[in-house]
Amino acid sequence: MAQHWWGTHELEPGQTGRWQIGSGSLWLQRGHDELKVAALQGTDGLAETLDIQCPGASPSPPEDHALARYVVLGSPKDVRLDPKLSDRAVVARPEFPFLVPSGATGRVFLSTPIWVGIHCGAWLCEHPLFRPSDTWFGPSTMSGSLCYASRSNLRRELSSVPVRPHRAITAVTIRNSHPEPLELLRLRLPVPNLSLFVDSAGSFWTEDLVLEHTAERDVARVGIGQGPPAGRIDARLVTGPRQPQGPENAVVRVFNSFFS
Amino acid sequence: MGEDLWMSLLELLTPERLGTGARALATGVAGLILSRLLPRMLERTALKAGGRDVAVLIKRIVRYAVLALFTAMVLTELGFDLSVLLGAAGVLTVALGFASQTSASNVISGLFLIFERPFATGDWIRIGTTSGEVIGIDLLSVKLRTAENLFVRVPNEAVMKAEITNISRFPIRRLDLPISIAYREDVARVRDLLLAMVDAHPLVLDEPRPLCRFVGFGASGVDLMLAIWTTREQFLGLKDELGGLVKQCLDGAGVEIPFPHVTVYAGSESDPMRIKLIDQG
Repeated sequence: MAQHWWGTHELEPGQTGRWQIGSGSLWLQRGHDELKVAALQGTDGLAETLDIQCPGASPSPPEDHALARYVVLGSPKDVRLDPKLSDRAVVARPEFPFLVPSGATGRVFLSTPIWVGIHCGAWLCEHPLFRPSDTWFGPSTMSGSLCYASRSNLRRELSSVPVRPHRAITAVTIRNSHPEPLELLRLRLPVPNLSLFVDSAGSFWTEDLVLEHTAERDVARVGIGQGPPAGRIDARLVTGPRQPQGPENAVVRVFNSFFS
Repeated sequence: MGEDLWMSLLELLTPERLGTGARALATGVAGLILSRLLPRMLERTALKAGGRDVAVLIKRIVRYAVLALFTAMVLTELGFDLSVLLGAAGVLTVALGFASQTSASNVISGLFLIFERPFATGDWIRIGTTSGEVIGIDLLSVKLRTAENLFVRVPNEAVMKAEITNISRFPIRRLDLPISIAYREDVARVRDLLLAMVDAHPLVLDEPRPLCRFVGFGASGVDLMLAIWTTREQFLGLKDELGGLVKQCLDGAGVEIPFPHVTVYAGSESDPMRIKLIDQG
């Protein structure tokens, strides 16, 4: 039985459950061989609401929710909600202009929204609890990649990062071995290559990242740590990466002029 | 009489002639088989080298070349003197050349289009006033399917001479929406309202940043241009939605969108002219 919004929840045929997680909402109703799923993507990525009614929620789907029905295989007695990281990279900007002098190391923190995957006998679907805005990350409008824009900025102090049950925190260490100072204008977090961990307090984390800017190359290489983040050794793995890390995913270009 | 005919036929079909016929037949069959196998063998290489359009072109050229070669071999085997045929073909070529200048130009233009690749099959392009999806790039013409599901054939020569806009080449597009607001409105306030509205829309790209530019002092109001970026897949849907969102946003903030109007003054110090409607019915 789940102690959090995620995990396994008992939901027998005829029963209904509702999860209000942040500003996003999920409503599930079990039929004999089907599961009705009504989901609402939130508009406030930093809302703190957490309310679970399972079972015992209203038998009618809430208004403004997108409704879908899924055939359920077998006769499972429960539903599992799996937290997952976003399906695209996330681009974040520092709260204030951020300069890393040559030879120095800096650390920033960022939280990204979580998706919820629904499993009932088999994997059914996934929904974002908060759907971030699209953004483009690339050297020009002709080439690049479609990413999500983070509404929460890169923060220098972990204490200033909003901790929410529907967001995962990532720590990024920036090492500048280049002779020139590094001005961090924006950072593209390769979220699909990251794993999701949860600590004993129920907070979500990803692996630590290390961004190295050296004199040998124009691009800054991002290294993904192995295992739980430093300082959260007790965190356990919840979900693996959506995509395995490839050589091209490990490289992030840091732009000092953008669309000039 | 039947027996005479049969005897004549037997005399005609000497062992040497039968051998010649068999060799010609074998050559012809080998040519037909090779004209089918060879293009298929080259297809994968051609696809990697230049894509589907180049592959189709190369397959056709190889097939016709193999058929022409084996036809010449069969005719030679059967004893025909090809030099006579080539001479006649030369005269015919000159005559055909004059008659088919346009077709030849289309073929040459088609080759240039395939190798230059301003667009590929599946792209959405605009040539002149015609917009459509490219469904084929052939030797003589480009075939388009319009949004109304109409078939349009554009000769390659015309395509080479025209300005082509490839609408689907790049993954993101900018959408410009001209907006006019009343002269009494605060431009900075309206700009902030519009930018906040598009900033909240998940399909409007955060970067490149949306812009709300001052365009000019129009006849009926201040002209602005709201420029936002979105993916090419979302472009049409957002274009349809954005107008309504802008109106809703401005109406909600009490901002006037003026309709075209003209105010007439007789002079700077005079009162506006009175107009009285007289019912002449």
